[in-house]
Amino acid sequence: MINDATYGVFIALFIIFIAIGFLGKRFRKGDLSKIEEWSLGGRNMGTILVWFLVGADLFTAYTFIAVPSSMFKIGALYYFAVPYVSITFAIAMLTMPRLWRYSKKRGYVTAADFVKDKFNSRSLAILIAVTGIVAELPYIALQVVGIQAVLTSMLLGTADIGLISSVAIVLAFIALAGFTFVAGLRGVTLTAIFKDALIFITVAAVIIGVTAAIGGFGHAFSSAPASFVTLPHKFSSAYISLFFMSALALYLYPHAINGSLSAKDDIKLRRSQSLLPIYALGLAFIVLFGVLIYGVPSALNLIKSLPASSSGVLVVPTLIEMTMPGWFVGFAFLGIFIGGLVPAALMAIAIANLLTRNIIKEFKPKLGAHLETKTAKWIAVLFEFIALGFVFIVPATYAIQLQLLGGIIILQTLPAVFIALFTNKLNKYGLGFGWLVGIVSGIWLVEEANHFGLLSTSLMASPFGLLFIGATATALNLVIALVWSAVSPGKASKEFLAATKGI
Amino acid sequence: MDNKKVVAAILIIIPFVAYFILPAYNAQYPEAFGLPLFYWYQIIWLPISGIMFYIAAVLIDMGRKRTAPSQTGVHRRKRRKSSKR
Repeated sequence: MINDATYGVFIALFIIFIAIGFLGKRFRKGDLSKIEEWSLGGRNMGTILVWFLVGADLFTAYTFIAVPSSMFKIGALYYFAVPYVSITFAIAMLTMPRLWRYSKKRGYVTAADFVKDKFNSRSLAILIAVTGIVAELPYIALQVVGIQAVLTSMLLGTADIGLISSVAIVLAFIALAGFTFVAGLRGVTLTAIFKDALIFITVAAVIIGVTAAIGGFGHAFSSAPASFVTLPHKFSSAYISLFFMSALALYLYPHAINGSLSAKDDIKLRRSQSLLPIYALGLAFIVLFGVLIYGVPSALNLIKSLPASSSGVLVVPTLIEMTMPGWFVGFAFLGIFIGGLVPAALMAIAIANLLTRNIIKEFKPKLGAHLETKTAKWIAVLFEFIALGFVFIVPATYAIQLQLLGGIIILQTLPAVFIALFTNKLNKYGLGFGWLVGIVSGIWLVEEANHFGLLSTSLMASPFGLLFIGATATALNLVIALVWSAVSPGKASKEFLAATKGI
Repeated sequence: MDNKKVVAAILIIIPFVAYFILPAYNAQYPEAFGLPLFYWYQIIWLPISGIMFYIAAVLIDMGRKRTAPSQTGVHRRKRRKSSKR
């Protein structure tokens, strides 16, 4: 239920959240006019801090809202989120420490810095940077969608609901932009811990409270359709390709790389990544909210009474609201609310770095260190407001469609970033051409699968049954890049080889 | 390749195999706490994979020198001198 205590707790915790964000400035003090200090926290985060930072920024408000709502609509297929968040960390622990070592040695802040240095190619670096920015922007916009869902639930039935929630979101973003600008990654890290505490407590309380009240998960599963109990066979290939390719994609996103590079050393980084599947237990249970709601008739009826366009995103907030006392609803809603703000801040920092260092600086090479940081700070703020504006101007369904494409697009940077970490033989022209074919085929296949209309699926028919398009496009890209490099091996730049010898 | 690396590779591969053998766990029974096998199987593999990856991480870095920590800024590192290894 929602009462005055809900609002009171929500607002009080929000004030604490903002205070923590600004206080981040003083945390392990550094010279914040340096880009490594502002955007990577001085590469000084230990195992536990990186665990919280990366965990909090990978499991976002959008994850907490969208995956359970897809689960609620489609069923077991969306449980692919669970194997995905296990094996993605195996990939992270094998790739990120190596990227960290190169970055430390050569002063990289982004993946595109690495590509530029290794292949001595501005064009390839710009391609990687642009891909990262394009894939990340809808991701930030979707955080706003998650935040809106919480506010809509909280204010349902109030007059002027649209106006009040818009004002609240704008105010929240002003506060967010303030601490991103002032405290940079330090602010994000501290607020991430706060956010994690709220989310974990919420998940545990709802799972225990709701299952006890309705008499166990069995009751929810017996009330849900059969496609929830086990995975329908037609989805077998889709399930495996979705979790495997998503696992490969996650650490190509700029915010995941940015978070990883903030680690204090490569060994601590590897350990914190290796332990992240345990963090993912929270996600495994929150996805089940999409099933649990079938066991709570009051919540199910409310969802079914709402228009189809908005009912999906409200599954998690409605279940919490219908089963928990007022003050706890405020606590849980704030957890999801800042669960959108914290990742949005890191994502904005990460793409501001890409735009400043890998695009603007290429055309204005005289940008000094101080001016570079200043530019990145303002661009981070700008991106936060672009994402916010995006949601007010463009309907949420488009943001979701773009996000669908984003996952496929970011995968096309895999050869130039991940494979290049392990071999010096890649040919930069092969990489560029593979990227082009991957992007074009990926977009084409998605359009075709959706009959050139609204994008609602990223699965295509194949001889192996339904398959995730990201797998097809990436396979084409890989074949081109690898065959080209085998026929005419490229070579890494001399400076890179000399500087990274033995690491 | 030394034995440690081989063990680490095996530990990393096992969770992949566990999740790739979809037909083996795509079933309702046996249930646990009312959850079909499909769900609880995948949930328990999260902590198991975390533990396996962690052991693999320790094995991979065993005997490797830690890359020197950050030199930039004036970090108060004293407090965390005995960092968790």
